[in-house]
Amino acid sequence: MDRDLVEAARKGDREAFAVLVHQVSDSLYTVAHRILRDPGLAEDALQNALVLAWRRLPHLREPDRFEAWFHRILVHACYDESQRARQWTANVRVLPVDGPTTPDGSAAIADRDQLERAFRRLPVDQRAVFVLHHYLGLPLVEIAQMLEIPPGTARSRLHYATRTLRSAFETEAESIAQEGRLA
Amino acid sequence: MTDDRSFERAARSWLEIGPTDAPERAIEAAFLEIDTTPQERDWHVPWRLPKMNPPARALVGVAAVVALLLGGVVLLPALTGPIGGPSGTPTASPSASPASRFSLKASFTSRLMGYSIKIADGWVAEPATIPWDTATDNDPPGVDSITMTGTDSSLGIASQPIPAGSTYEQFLGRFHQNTIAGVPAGCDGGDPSTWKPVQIGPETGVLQQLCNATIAFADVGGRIYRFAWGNETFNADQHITEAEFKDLLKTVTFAPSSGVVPLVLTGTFASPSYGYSIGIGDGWTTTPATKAWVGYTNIEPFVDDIKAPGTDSTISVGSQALPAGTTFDAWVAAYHAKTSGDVPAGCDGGDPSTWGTTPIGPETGHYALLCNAVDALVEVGGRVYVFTLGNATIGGTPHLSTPQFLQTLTTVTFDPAVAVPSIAP
Repeated sequence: MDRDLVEAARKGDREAFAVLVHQVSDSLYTVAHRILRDPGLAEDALQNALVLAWRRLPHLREPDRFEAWFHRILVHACYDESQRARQWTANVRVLPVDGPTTPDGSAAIADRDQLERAFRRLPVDQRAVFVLHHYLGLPLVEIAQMLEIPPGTARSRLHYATRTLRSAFETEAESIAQEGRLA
Repeated sequence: MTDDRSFERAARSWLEIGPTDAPERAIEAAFLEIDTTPQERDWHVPWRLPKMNPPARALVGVAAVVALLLGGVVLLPALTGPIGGPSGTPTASPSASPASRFSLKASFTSRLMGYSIKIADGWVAEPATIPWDTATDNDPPGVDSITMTGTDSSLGIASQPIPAGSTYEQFLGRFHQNTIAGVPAGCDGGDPSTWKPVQIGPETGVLQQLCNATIAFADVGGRIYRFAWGNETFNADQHITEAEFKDLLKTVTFAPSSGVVPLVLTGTFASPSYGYSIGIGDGWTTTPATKAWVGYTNIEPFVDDIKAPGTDSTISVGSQALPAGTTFDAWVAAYHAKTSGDVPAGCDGGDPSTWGTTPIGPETGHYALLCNAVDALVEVGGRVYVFTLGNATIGGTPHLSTPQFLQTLTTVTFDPAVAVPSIAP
């Protein structure tokens, strides 16, 4: 990330900010989509995060950590979107199910469906840590730093998310194995 | 039993599925908003002390110790020079205030926060328009902002009743925890129990001393008052001094009974028809619209009605798609013309170009102060939303106040895509 661009954007240079956004927006959106599991909500989260980042940029202390700082804002925007989504009980969105990118077997599809259902039931703060760890590949210490939470909290969120998903994953695996035996 | 590796592999491969590019329309929409969005003022300016040579560093230490021994406090902003400039000259603030540069002859009386303070001619006061919420940070509209022309310093002043079931000390503790996130060690002001006393008007408050911001608190008549001093730049020569800040604090007079009481909005009403939700208080009643709103007459059955118990106030909310070829400004002008025809002179809110702005959820809306009502309008996703506070009587019965109405609007969320084109009877 170009430090000069960050400094310029901090001082109110919208063009510099646009260049920075161009560099990070794909990563921000894909993370939001993985956390929220809904393209509309992810879009809203991205949009809100961009505006909020612009407003708060003068508060950024360490320009070198711009990307991590931006991801933190994005994760918080996801929290807000998730909260709003819960308030819209009368207007539940139809959640699209992503199709497989490559042909594969029914067991893998069943795994994914089971993961999808279990993941949607997780609290959004657990989802965020799970996505940052398994999708972006960030170590827990870095996630804790990014989200400004104690490392122990990051660890426990990942633990609970993993436990829930793993349990769902195993239930599905056992059920498929059972069907195989009965067939 | 699946092993860890196979679970992680499945999880990673599942996470890989999905879009990889951000949609352009989201970015474009964000930049449309950014074009009219100012950046926030940085209240926490120089966390990084300028590089000092060893003798200067030693002097800082000595000055700090001397200041503490004298019963004063160390004003780190004054110790810091311009970033990247020459080494800072350590100058501890004396506890006795020197003559202020400012002639504090004018007075600012807060509309919402229950205090007055002396200010100098030429300083610019921007009054708060909604009650202070600690989450609102330091900027308007939730705080009074006083810009000290001729310096780069500003004050952000706010107050609120001590929350039910809480104490002043607990509030300070929570506020402290919120403000220190991410600040360097030694710059968090320490535990609130260690904060130094400071005179605020006739009261004794406490001073939270961060490395680059100073916040004074007082508990007066059941309200918590907060006076935050911040600076725009790294240049200490441009700041007011701590002594000048303390001189200002001494001019405060308190009137806690005139402070606004924020609403407690713990519930949510999600409109079944119009694609928005809004925070509501305990016991509030809601009546959704039963006919789709067209034209300009925003009364039931075309609007969602929300009533606050114990008041004669109703918040009515209507929404409709902007007619093809009509701009929001043109629609507002037509709405204003149609709805202000029979109101008394001086009660029509004036020309829409003179209306104030206020946050409506994540959007910025425009509002008109009518004599016994307030209209707030905003366009979201090609729809116009009109929120109206109306009171059944002029006096006597308690109303929701305008600041409370505007506070309620901050809780709004929008999703115009789910608004329905017609409402089934």
